[in-house]
Parts: sequence; C-alpha cells; structure tokens
Amino acid sequence: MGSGRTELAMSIFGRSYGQRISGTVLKNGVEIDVSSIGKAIAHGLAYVTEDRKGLGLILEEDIKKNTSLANLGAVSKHLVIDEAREFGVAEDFRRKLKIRCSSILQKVVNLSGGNQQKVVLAKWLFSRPDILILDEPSRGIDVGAKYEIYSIINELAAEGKCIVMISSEMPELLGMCDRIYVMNEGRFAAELSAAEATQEKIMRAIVTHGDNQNEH
Amino acid sequence: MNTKIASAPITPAPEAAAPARSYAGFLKNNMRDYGMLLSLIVIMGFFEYMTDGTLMQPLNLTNLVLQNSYIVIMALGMLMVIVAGHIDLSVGSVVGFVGALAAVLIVNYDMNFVAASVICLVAGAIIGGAQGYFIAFFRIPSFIVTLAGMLVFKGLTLALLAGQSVGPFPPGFQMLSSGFLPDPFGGDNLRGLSLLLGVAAAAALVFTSLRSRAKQLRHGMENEPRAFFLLKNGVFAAVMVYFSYLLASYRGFPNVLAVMSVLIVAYTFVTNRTVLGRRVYAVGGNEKAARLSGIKTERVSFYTFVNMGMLAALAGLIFAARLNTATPKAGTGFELDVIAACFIGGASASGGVGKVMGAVIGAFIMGVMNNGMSIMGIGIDYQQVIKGLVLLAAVFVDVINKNK
Repeated sequence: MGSGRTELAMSIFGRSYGQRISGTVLKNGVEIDVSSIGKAIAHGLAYVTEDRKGLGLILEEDIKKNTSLANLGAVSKHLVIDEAREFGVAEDFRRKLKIRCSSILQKVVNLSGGNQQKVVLAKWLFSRPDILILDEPSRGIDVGAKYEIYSIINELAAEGKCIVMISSEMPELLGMCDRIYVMNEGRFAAELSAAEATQEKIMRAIVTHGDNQNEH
Repeated sequence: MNTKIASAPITPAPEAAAPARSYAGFLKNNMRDYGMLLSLIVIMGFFEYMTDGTLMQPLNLTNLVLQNSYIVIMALGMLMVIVAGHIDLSVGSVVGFVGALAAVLIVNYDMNFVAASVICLVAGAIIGGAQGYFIAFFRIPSFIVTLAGMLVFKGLTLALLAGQSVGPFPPGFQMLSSGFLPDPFGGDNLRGLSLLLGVAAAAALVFTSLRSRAKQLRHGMENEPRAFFLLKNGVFAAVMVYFSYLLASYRGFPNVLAVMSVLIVAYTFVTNRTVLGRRVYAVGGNEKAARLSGIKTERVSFYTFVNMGMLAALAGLIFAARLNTATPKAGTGFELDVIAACFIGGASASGGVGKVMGAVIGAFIMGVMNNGMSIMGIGIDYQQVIKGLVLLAAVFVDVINKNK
C-alpha cells in the first residue's frame, strides 16, 4: 500500500504507469528497450496485474479470446486467426491450470475469482515470457485456488523462469521466495535472502527505512 | 508451447454432459442471433400481409435494396466504431459533404467521375481520420468530436453548393446507384446472371459453413447442434435463392447490391477472423486490459474512424448517384438510422459487443419498416414514433436478457 511496488513493476513493463519515467532496464546484463508494452512483451516480460477485472481481463469475452490476447501472432497467419489452433491453446491451458468452467467459450465474467486469476495467468504464460511479474497473485481468491496458483508458480520457477512476485502477505513471501526486496515509499528498504528473512526483519527494515526518510 | 506445467491430471470435460442441456445452453447463448433473424422474418411477414403482397413484389424489393444500401454500408463502419467504444454522429453530414464534393468536381469542373470518386473516398478517409485523431490521441469523447464534425460538415456542404442543388451527374456515375448487373443470357423475363449469382452465393454459403463445421468437429471444438445448423443454413440458402429469383424477375441485381454484398462478406470476415477485428473488440471490451496486453489502443480507435469516414464517403457517392443531384439537405438524419441499426442489431453502447450480421439485419429491419409503413399509408409522424419504440424495445429485450 503506497510502497510503490505496482508503480515500479508497471513502469518497467512498457512504461504503462505514470508519465515521467527515467532509468534503464537490464536483462541478462544487456539493456533492453521497454518504452512500449509491445516492446516489453517482445523482450520476454509479462505483468500479471493485481486488478484482474480492471486491467487484466475482458470480462465480456470468453476464456479462449482472453487467453490468446497478448500473443495473437502465435495463433494467426497473415493476420488471420487460426481458430482451431487458438482453441487448442486455450484448451491446453484450461487443463494445465485446472480452470474450472463449463467450456472455454464461457465468458470470464461468470468465473470465480480464482479461475479468473488463472485465465490472466494463462494469457501471460501464452506470451512465453522469460520474466513473469506477478502482482498480488493470490489476492481475493479462495484457499484451494491459492494453493494451485502457488504450485503453478513453483513449477514455472523450476523450469527456470524468472518470477517476480509482489505481495503484502508475509507468510506467502517467506514460503515462496528465494530473495525478498522490501519497498517503502517508492524506494528499496532492504534486500534479504530466503535464509535470513523473517517477518521481524522485514518489518524492521520498513520501520527503520521510514524513520530515516523522515530524518533526512 | 514452452510452458510445460507438469502432469496436471486431465479433468473430465464437463461439457460432454447430456445433449439436451447443451442444446438449451446453446440456444440461450445464441438467442440474440436467432431472435433477430426471426424478428426480421416476422416483420417482413407482417408487412407482406398488411400490404397485400406489395412488399415482396420484385419492383418493391429492388427499391428496398436501393433505399437501404447506404444505410447498410455505413452500419458496417458504425458497428466497428461502436464496438470500439465510440460513436460517430457526423456520418450524415459526411454523406452530404461528399455528395456535394462529387457534384462540384464532376458537374462544375467536368472531372472524370472515376477520378472524382477516388478523391471523394480519400476525402472521407481524411475526414474520419481528422475526427479519429482528436478522439484517439487526445481522448476527447467521440460524442463531442463527431457532434462538432456534424456541424462543420453540414456547414461545408452548404458552402460548397452555395445553397443550391447541383446536378445532374453523367450516366456513368449514375450507374453506381441506378445500374443493374448486365444480363449476358438475354432472357426476356428473367435475368439469368443475377439468378445464377444468387444460387452461387447460396451454394458458397452452404459450402463454407459445412467446411468450417467439419473443421470444428475435427478439432473437437464446440458448435451448434446439428438441427440448428441445418435449419439455419437451409433457411438462409432458400431465402437467398428466392430473393435472387424475385430480383431477377425484375431487372436483376442492382450494382449497389453487389457492392454491399462484397462489403458485408469482407467486414464479417475481418471482425470474426482477423487479428485486427479481435483488437477492435478487445479495445471496446476493456481498453486498459487491451493496452496492457500490448495492443496499441489509440491506433485501433483511430483506424475505426478512418474506416467509418471512407464508408460514409462511399454512401455519399451512392446517395448522390441515386438522387442524381447533390442537395444541401442530403444525408440529414442518416446517422440516426445507422446508429439505430447497430443497436437494434445487438451492439452494446458500452462497447465490445456487436456483430456485423446483426447490424445488417438491424438496418433491414428499419428499412422494411420504413418501406412497409409508407406503402400502408402511415404518415411520417407516426412512422417515427413506431421506429423509436422498436429501437427502445430491441434494446430493452437485450438488457432484460443480460440481467437474467
């Protein structure tokens, strides 16, 4: 809340937040151009928003069309969509992510929060990213779906994908992450490895950082 | 796919449930489409009965096509504008302006009508682009920008024509609207080519539907129940052949019908099957989500207006050719018919929803009502009342259905 995490992530993801954005983005030590969202996606970035209804999904469209939206090029030829391929892709993700629905032609507005989150995840997995930024991926979904989302994240990490997870829930962070960056008022307050991180240390980093900010 | 998520057990597909349920489910999902078609048929039947068969007489059917062609053509562009979440109030004025431009170029400056038509189409695209520029890149609401455009181009029409009617056009230009397809077979009572084209189009429709259905079945995609599929395509093909026969027994297919048919097919394809169409729906459905998915939403909005301007220009040429003069009042109120056609056809005012075929059927529902009520001798006063109520009723049914 107000720590600037979403703002940071969206600024990196194609300068999609705010106006005056400065700085460079390095991937594997090479500077990449992320001045538009299309370029960011092309460079292998993906951003799974925390606001899935407002920014993540087209609620009145079906699961299939939402899944292919960020990578239409992969299901089309000369700008004509190959419906069979698109159907196959969406069906694949429905099975892998266990999206519970009557069919992939169901409108996403009628899905539960957890299943909506899985559709957003499917969309960004289909864009084949190297770096997946997950903004509060477990917010507002039921316990079962939460567990499934964690499993998916772990499997992706095991495949060697770089995952940046933004979260306010400390047990979630401590359970999932290899490395934790603490942000406060738009700045990094601390970097902790999984071994040394505890709830107390994270809280202390925020409080001391806040004090320093006030002093300076 | 390089995202292998290990060994998720395949859940049994729930959609393989009892066929009766999927039947009902399919009907529920597609009720809008069938309902619209049904209401067009009911309205036609009603007026056919009330006018003692005048409605479907070959002469009147031909007139029906000629009277509504420009509304249908503009409805194609308007549908895309509305789906993208905007509105265009300026199309009526653009029709008048382009007609005036054509008249000035062809009649006053003796320009070749083909060159003049091309200039008019380009002018339409530029007009659409100019309005789209403010809407897309400066985020001024389309209602306001096109309201301004409506006034501007209405004024420019008057200025261009100096308040006079300009005409007549050379015969070649008139052919655009009042011409009919030639008849190489020289039949006395029946225009062979038109009938043949109608039958061929019906056959093509059945063939492509069968092929795409076979493809859907092969890939295990869902599709409409066989009974619906057969009924729908059978009725469609029969109606096409029957109407072709009726038109062929008068003077054959009007040229505008050919133009209109090609455009309908093209726009149906673009909206349903292409990346471009998908982007337009995405922008209208949720602009922010579309942008975060890498779609250049401003550009999409911009091009829907360029497209709309060009189609309005085409409609302006057809309308001018039909009247054989350009008058300062040409096109007045067209925007209302075009927008009404889209909303009767199921487009949503908030964007993201609507189909080309819906808008076309909506335009014909309006057209048949205009024509039928005129034949019945209902005054222009009550015609407008009835049309307004039909528009309200169509949208009301939509809203009720959606909230259920």
